[in-house]
Amino acid sequence: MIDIRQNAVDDYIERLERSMRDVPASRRSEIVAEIRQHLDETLANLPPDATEADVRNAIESVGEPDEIASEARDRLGIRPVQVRWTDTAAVILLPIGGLIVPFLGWVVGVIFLWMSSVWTTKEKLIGTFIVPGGLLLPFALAAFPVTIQTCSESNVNGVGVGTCSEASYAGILTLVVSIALILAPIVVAVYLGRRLRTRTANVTP
Amino acid sequence: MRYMVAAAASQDRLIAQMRRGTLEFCVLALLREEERYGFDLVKALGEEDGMVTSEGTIYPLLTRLRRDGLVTSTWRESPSGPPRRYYQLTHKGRRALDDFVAEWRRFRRAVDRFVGGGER
Repeated sequence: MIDIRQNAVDDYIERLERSMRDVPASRRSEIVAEIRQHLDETLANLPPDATEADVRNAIESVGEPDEIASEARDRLGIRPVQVRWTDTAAVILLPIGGLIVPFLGWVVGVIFLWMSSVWTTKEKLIGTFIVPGGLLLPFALAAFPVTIQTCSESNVNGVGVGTCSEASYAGILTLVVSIALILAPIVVAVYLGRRLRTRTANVTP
Repeated sequence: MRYMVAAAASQDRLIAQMRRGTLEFCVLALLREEERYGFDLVKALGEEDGMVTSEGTIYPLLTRLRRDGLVTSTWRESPSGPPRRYYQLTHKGRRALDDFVAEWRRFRRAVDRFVGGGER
């Protein structure tokens, strides 16, 4: 029984922490600590033969984590994260914008990315540098295969003779690099999109 | 019909707003005579029907009152379990409460005069 109660409290606190992500850490930890104590005391007041349903009801009376989080934002004057259409546009333009309007489409995506108040600076840097141009880069490389010229010069009877061979960057390396270049912008776009969703999903207007 | 639904919804919102706005002064008033800790405050507020819908929503309010200097808090040992944070009213809090009470009486009298309540 004690285990069930402790798990239920831990579960609830975890959900609360998640809902209150955008509340500054010092205030969040103060509120969470107080609510944890409140929960502990609420459950300690239950009769020893309380069922799991009683425990759940007691926890429910404390309130939905989202409700408490929105109250915290309200009382502490924290503006909920504003999602603008440019945020969604950035997630789409970063990988494929450069393909629609060569290069410029990606640039617009980067501008939208940095205009946003949803992502952190770290996330914006990831979005910008992985990969510049988005999917344009692997497509451009496919259209203009990278070639390497290797030249060697040998001295034959006092006369320099240069022999050059042109080799297409073939083989396994090309394959790995192109897969990475195709996947990276997609993975990053999905990552930014998920951040956008989770940061805004729990905001009740 | 749609008008009635909309009116009922906006009335619900108004009542909720009024409750929310006055809640902080109810908390301050509960601290006027004695210091209390969170759980104790929540239970006292819960005795009045409809004052608190979700117990946990008191805590963001307490944090704000503390940040604003209207209450202060001290940790005290509890007979059972970990130490508790007890809240006390500050001078600033007492003044804010007195101001509100004066304003509230004026407001209540005025509204009662029009809606015809208050005569006992």
